[in-house]
Amino acid sequence: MNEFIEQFLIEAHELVEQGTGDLLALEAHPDDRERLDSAFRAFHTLKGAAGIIDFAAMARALHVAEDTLETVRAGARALTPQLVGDCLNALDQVLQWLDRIEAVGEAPIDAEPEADAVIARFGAAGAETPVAPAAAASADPGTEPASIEQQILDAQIRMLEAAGPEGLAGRMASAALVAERALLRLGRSGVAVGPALDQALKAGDPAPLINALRQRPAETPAPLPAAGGAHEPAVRALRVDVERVDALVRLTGEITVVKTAIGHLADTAEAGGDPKLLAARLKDQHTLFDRLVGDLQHAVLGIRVLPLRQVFQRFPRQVRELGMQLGKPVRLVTEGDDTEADKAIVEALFEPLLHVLRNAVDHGIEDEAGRRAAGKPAIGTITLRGARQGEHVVIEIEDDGRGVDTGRVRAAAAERGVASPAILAEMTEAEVIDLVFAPGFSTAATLSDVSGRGVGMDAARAAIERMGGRATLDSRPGRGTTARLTLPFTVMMTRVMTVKAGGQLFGVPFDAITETVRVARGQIAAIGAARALVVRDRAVPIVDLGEALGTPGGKAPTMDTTIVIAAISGQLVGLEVDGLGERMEVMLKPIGGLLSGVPGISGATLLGDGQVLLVLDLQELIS
Amino acid sequence: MSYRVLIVDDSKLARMSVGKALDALHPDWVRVEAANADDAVALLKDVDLVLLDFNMPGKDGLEFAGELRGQYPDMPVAIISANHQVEIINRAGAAGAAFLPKPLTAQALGAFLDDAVGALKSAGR
Repeated sequence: MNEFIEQFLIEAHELVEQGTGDLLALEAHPDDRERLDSAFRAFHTLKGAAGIIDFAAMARALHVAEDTLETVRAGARALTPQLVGDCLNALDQVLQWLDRIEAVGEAPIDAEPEADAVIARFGAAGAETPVAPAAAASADPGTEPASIEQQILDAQIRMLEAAGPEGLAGRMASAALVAERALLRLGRSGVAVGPALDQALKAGDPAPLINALRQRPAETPAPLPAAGGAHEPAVRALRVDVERVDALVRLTGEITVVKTAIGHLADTAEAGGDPKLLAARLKDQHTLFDRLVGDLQHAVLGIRVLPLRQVFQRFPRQVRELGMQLGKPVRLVTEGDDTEADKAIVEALFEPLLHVLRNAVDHGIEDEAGRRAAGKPAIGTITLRGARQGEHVVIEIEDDGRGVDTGRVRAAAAERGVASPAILAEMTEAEVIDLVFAPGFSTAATLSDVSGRGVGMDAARAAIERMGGRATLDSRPGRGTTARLTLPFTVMMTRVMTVKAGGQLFGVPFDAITETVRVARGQIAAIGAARALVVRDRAVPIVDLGEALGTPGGKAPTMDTTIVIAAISGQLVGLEVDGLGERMEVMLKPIGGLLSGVPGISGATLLGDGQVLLVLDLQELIS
Repeated sequence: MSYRVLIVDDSKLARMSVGKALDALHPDWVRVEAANADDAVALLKDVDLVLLDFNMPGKDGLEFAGELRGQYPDMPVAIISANHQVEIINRAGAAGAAFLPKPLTAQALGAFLDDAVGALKSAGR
């Protein structure tokens, strides 16, 4: 990544933050001239920055936003909530572009349709007289870009149909290029534009291309989840402090010294040195080596950190829209957004945080009348706060709403069968508050469109626990609720493949797997008490994984069987399993309690459906 | 002849971009940078020419250019802006400053610098 792109990313993030803050403040105080100037400057400077790195699509989109704000500055237009929404939408698109630039190190070349979508929103607003806030609240930003892309696609088809023989080849090629991008954005990458173009060029007739572009998807792709998926940042490149890299270089040097020392000891042993002396010196080196490996682990994990800003930054607009949907004026304050956490955690936080914030707006913050009655400011405040506490990162979501009504929670829990009345009667207030996280509690919580879609506090807690964290709720009746998410600072990510054995699901470390084969049982030869299979001229011992784990049986004898071939300390071993599952990346937690003594298990992880997946330690299992 | 150029812009990226263009044209010139008009004032006395961003927090480029004209009548000043509006171009002219569009091209900057060098030479610097 060149220094210009680096500086661009730094400044653009700051400007998006500045612009978002200004716009949200302007919504509350539309006459704040200073904020208006500052918002205008943010858009203006962002546009200029886009120009400097030759990101024309972004410059184009921001130019329209800037022009619109200029008309507001000139007093020719009122700053309506819709206009604020359009501007925030533009900044949100910028954030998504920034993620892409961070990932690939340069401005995306396929951003034109997105820029069109941003501009279209301003266009729609400009064509009408200022629109009432109610209309803005119902506007769905999710559907707009899709239709724009379809329009682009249709325009290409029309252009091709009307095209004469002159310059046809060039037109077809350009239409194919534009259409391909639009199709990609529509999630219809299956359409073979390239071959159709070849065919059309060969025939000198656009018909094959037109037909390909007309082709409708056999199955409509599932729409992106309303807010989650579309915003997942795909940051593949990482900016790392030079100091951290230097620490790694230093450690590498120290480890090399130990390696040399051990080599020397091996030579001495070979030459018949005194075993006692050798053992003592070997032990010393081992102690040193152990410390260095620990340091190395620490240093490597320290590289993979991101500031919480990366995820916090996405919420001011989300919370604003939630407030508009629910008719509750609410603002989001973020604190400690430069707190660092493991990249894997920062990237997985968006969804759980969104659930908790939704819950806070929906159930925590009172409506305007309720707030007035309680003597509170009309605008509710939610504080999103990050802090590092030792080996943990703590995120708090604090609202100044009504707190948890434990009476209602008890009633609702009884009604929904979350707990029996007898158990409920025994529960302390704190235990009742915790029921908010119980599966099945929030699914039917309200009929509102925001919470209560089967995604709620239970989903948030499950996601946090999957990362090895904890989620708790603290309520001050009448004064507000604080959700506290405590997360580990670092996590180990492990790639596993799930397999079924003995009727249970296990994870096998993916790196150990060399291949999977399906063979007829007859091909497995008995050698004494053991069994082996010949794979590529090598006899590979076969172990029944279910038996090895002490959970045999449960499967019907079949003609064929599935073998996972794994390399364990250089030796190939075939693990006979009932079936293969999927490949996934999991955050491994050391297991405690009852299972901690079980050999052959290196850790556990929670699957998306709440099931526990035990991940195997093959070395321990086989030896 | 080597000159000292002051670049004033609140965006470091923009200063980098101007600096790059300047380096390509006159690698031997010295450049100094400031993020706003107030910081720039302290650097003015050793400077031969000034490149100003129009849109800055605090004092904007036009206002600052007007002040410079009063204090240093011979100092060549250019306003760089992404707003290519006639009004701004005219106001830059009225303040005695050249107008350069943003993002800055080597061509536009080169033309301004050639003029500036001519003016400085005839002023005996």
